[in-house]
Amino acid sequence: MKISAKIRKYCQSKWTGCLFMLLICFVMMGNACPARAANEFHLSNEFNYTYNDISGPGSSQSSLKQGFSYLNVLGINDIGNYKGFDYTFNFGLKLTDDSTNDIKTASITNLQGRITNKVHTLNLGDTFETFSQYALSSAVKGASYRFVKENTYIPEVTLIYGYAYPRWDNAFAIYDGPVKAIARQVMGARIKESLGPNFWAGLSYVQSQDNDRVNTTDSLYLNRAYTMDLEYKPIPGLTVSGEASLSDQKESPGGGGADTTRHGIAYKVTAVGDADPSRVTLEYERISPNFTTLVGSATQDREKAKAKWRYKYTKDVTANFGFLWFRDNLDGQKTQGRTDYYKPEVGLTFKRLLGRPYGVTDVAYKLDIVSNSHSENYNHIGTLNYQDQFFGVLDSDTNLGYTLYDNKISAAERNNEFTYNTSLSSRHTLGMFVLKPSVYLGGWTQRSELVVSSDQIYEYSAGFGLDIPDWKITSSIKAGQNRLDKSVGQDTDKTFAALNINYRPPFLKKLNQGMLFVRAKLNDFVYTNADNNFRETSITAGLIIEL
Amino acid sequence: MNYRRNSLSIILSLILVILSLSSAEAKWWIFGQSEGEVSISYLFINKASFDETGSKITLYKEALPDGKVTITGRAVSGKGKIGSARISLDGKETWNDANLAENGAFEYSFRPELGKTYSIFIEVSDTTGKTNDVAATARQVTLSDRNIMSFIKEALDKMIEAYKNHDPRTFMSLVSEDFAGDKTNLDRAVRKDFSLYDNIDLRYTLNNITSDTRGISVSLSYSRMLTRTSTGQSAKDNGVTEFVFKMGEKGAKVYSMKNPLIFGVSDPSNVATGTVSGGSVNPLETVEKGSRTLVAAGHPPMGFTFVDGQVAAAAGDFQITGGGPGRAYGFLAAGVTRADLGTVSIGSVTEAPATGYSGDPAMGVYLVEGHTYAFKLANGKYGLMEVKTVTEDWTGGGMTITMRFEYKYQPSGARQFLP
Repeated sequence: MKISAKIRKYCQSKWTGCLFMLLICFVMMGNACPARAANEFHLSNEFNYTYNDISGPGSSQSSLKQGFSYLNVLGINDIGNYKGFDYTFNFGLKLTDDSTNDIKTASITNLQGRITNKVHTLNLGDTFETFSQYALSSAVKGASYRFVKENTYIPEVTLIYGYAYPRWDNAFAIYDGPVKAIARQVMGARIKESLGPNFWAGLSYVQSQDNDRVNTTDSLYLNRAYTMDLEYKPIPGLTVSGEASLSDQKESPGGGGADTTRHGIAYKVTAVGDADPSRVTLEYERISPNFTTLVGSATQDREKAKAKWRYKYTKDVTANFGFLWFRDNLDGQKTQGRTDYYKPEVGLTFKRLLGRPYGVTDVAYKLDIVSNSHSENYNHIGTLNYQDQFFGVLDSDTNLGYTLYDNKISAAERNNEFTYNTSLSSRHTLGMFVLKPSVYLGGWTQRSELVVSSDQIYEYSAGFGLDIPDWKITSSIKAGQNRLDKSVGQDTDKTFAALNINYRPPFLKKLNQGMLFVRAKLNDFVYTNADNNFRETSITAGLIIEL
Repeated sequence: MNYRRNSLSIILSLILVILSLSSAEAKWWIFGQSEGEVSISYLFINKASFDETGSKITLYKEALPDGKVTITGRAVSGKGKIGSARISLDGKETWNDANLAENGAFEYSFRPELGKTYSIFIEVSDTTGKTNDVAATARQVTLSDRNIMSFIKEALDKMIEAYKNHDPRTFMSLVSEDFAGDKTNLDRAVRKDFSLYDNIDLRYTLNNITSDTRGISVSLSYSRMLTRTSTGQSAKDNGVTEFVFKMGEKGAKVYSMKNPLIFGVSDPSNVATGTVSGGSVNPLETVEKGSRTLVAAGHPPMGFTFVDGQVAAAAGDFQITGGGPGRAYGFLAAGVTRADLGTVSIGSVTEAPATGYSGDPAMGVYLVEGHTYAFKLANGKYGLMEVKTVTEDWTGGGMTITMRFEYKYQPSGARQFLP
């Protein structure tokens, strides 16, 4: 067992080493033949230095790191053409000593090389090939090859191999060790045939296999998915698409439990009709409880039907209707029985209502019903939004919302929520200065019908923006208070202030883009229990350059 | 009820079948409009269907194949034959002939300039001089020199700002209509998040951005702090998660999200489609949890309250008064029921049962070491508790029972408890 694990580890590190060497070849290709290639080289770098001060007895609650820290994000992009092949190379590097930015001090963010002559395309490094929703919709660190000959009946073929790691540090480290993750090896193939411009169909096979547990209790999976998808446009504006997938999975639980296997099926059909004045979507989906996809996207144990209709009644009035239904327990194995969800909604948008030239009103009602043999919840959600401009300079945006949580079985769960907020903002030019004052007032109230309790949040803030275009300066300052008043539990009072200044100095003009910036913020938290009180003060200065 | 559900499924299925088989030219969803004799059966701009692009199209330099924009389509005529296909890039001021095939298929390519907006119209004519509805083909195409990363950062920054400000309207405007977890579910989940959390502070750094023609995969590290409105207490976490975005008319929009979620965390089973492999460092759970110890010596009884995680004398959802080694004896508060899940660990219970709960019998209840219990509380919400140890101590002449336990409380009212 240990030997096989070592072999796997060796193969993996050797594989990533080969990949790295191949990617270096892309860079050399671009640099060795600058005269022959139409070459573009771009570099962007953002560096910032931050000082955080966290004080008070509850300072452990802060998500900031005390003291000085830095963050540097570098991006390199090389595009060119060599002997009829277009190539692209991307590289990214992140450096930081603040674990809240990244747990690694140095990590590669992007590493990708791509070469194509329109028929053959080879991608190395960061690879994202979307086969279909159920089959493959995750990026891998690896390689893909695509063959496509347009305007012929020769099918398009795509092959992919790699590891579904979220970051390069899972594969190899450039500094202070790798970040442990289950090694999920992915390989797949897809063939797609277009029969004319209105119809295509694809077949995919994707296998993912886990190795190297991070924790001894981790389960390892071997998953295979056989998928067919298609799209048909019978008439202009109408698209019918579908997908069906079969999956086989073997699960090896941690701690020496016996392997288990499961097989499942998923399918969906969607029709979208889109042409003014309407857009209509109809969808039906069924995913069995045992359907599994580790590198695709699916929610197990679900039967779903959906209908949406957007209708532009006039140029100023649009109506939206939607209905979503889904349920679980497709195999009848859940002891609590099946649960059905019904989510109808209706919304109307009015422009220029009551002759207001900039007035836009949105009103919507949404109902959530969750129903099974033991309980029945009805959540009624009503929202109103109104945007307008007054006196030619004062922009307003107001939201009102009301939600009634109505549990038909348990009266103890019935309560009401009311949300409201409004913002006013304006913009004035005064000589070389642009002034942008703003105010915000918001709140949230929750009331229980039975228990005499009421929780409330109030937030109010004022902001002021000052831009000096001639000096390439933009700036803003905002300060306010957010208060949570609880009938039972801790009250919280947060006072905050934030300052941003951006400056594009003349000496950075030689670069494509260049900017200096300063950001400062203050958050002061006060709780009922004073032992939790703390204050965050943070100031960041940085430089962005783009070549 | 079942009849209603089955009828709904059958009706929707029938509609889909009819649509897929339909060869009629009638656009049933367009009220009062009619087809011209000369029409365009399909139209693409760099392989994106005109039907799906909207009126304003932004193309990105780094995603432009060979630096060119290619318009392809096929014109059909009711009676005659298609005689010409022309493209205007400047709002019908000037026209350029497209390459036209015998069957009406046409193609036209041009190399766009950075930052310039092209007002595109397409006109096809049959040999009798009849033309298509040219106005319906109008599109404004702009070539942006912004890279994809800047669009992703812009979208994420706007989403986080809207999420911090409890603004579901702006937040949902940044979500794709095709959202894999269903847009309706995400809308409800973020509204629930806003009820559960306040003072949300969310920061991220990008780990990776990779794109193909159908989407953009994004991996990011996040760090988060918030206040739970249920208790007023703060919580923080950090981790790695992944998104898929799709580029639209107004920038990047979210197509899918994986666990650990940073948005819609109150309904992960309906919002997330997948889990990041080994990406989570310390994901925030909507569940509140901890471990406590009750020490009771007869009277007063010692109790525990799930809502605030407090231990108190003569108060709580359950209270103990005595017992012996391996099991404590006590009683439940009014309105509280429990179900014995047996000798399972609390970490392995992902869902509290819907049934099987019983209240406090006249003889009280025993809480047995190694057993995990599910509680349905008087407020209708659920809690779990695993009895880790129960010991007795006779020092001083009287018996003292010490019960150490772990607990979880689901404040959302759901029965789900993430592992």
